[in-house]
Amino acid sequence: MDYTKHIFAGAPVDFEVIDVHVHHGANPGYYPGPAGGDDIVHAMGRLGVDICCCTPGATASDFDYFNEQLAKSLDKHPHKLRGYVMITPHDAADPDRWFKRSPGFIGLKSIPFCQGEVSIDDPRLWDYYAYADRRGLPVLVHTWAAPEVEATTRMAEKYPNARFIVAHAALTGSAAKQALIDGMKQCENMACDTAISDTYDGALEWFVDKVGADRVLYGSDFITFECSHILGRVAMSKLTDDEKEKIFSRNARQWLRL
Amino acid sequence: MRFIDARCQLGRRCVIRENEPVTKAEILELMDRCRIERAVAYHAIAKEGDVKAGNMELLKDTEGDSRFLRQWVALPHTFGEFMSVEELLKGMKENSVSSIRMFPKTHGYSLKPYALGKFMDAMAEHKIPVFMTYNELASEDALYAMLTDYPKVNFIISDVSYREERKLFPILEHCPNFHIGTGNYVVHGGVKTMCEYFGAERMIFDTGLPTGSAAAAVSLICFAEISEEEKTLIASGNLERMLSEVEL
Repeated sequence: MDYTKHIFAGAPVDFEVIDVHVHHGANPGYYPGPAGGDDIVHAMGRLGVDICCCTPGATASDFDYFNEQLAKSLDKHPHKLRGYVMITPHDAADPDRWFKRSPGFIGLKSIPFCQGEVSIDDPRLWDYYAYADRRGLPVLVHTWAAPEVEATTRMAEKYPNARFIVAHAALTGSAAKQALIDGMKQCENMACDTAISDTYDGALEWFVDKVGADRVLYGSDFITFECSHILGRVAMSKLTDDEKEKIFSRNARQWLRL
Repeated sequence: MRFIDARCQLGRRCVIRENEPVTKAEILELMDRCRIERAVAYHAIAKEGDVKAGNMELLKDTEGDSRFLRQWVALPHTFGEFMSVEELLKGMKENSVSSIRMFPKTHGYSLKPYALGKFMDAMAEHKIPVFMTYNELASEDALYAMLTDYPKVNFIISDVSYREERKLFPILEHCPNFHIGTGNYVVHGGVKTMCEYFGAERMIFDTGLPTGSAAAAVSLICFAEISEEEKTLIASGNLERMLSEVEL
């Protein structure tokens, strides 16, 4: 299969794409472009993305507000969008009410570093991870450097039924990559995504060579930044067709139970 | 659509990450895979080691190779450590070098007219485009100062991240000599917005190979919600026009 022909044509791709890492709503730190549910769905049509799994807002602020904004978009686009409930170490709210609010919510988003530089394994987050563990839910975790990956590994060991998706670290620095390789070998309930704004050709192939393609999920970080460049980076990589199919959709269907 | 890359580095560099391309053959393989016809190239030694020696290495590495458009790295003429402006222009003409790249932060010099006025006057007079990455400038204010100090020089500023839009938008409004390299310009809808507000003429396709991703850079333009004419300008037209105007 030629994964690149539609990309060079700038046309929607003809293979299934499930994006496990999308942001719904504005980011206060910089101009994000149009950022609502309709805007995400419009971009999906432009690229040929089938399902986007969205986190509410960017990182911080009033989580009830942003969870509700996302819930409204999930109501409006039930076949295109799924959502992660944003959790916070600063509020012991029960995530269950969001899963009751919308069937489009499929997991949790943990990004405590951006919520006052709290560690991923901070005890204030344990109840949330325990909730994911009881229900076997995915938890998308923002990481960057090795200590954040190591903290995620500790949580993956502690909550073996929760399924942790480690964002970014597969394509950041050498120490983070090694920590992620070690963590994924240690914990079968750890996966990673492809989201990063800037990396080099060959980085993804190297990582897949180390851990295999079964737990690498396509994530773009859209609308934090444009999504088309990551689609092309995976499609034009030297990975095999089977590896590309797993990364673009098959792994997400299994990991997120879509 | 023809792609001509405005930012490519040849030669072995200091830091090489896991499975990162290094050799000219590896770069050419990536260019082929991503359908990039040619690339403006400077040499790693000119950035990381000895500027003059690196420029000479570039001539050797690109001898007889039509895939690469030669670019020299320039320094100020401090105590004669680098070519005089006259020697530089002569050398460029003799060796088919058509553009200049500068690293003011890495190489430690001022861009102000008291330091580079004569050099920039020559760039303007001979219509030689000057390339820089954004991180070589101290701030958006330093960028604005450079663009307004030398309004007749065409600057291509690349590796602009998705976080800089609010800072750069007003500079684009005020400085028509400011062009953005698209390589890491991954603002959501950024290429389309740039075309709407400032025109496709203000963007130049680049990749940052081999440390940047050619696949990502090509996809960004292919999927942009702009016309085919605008894509063609960005992918190759603007750069070709700029280089064709160089008078040496």
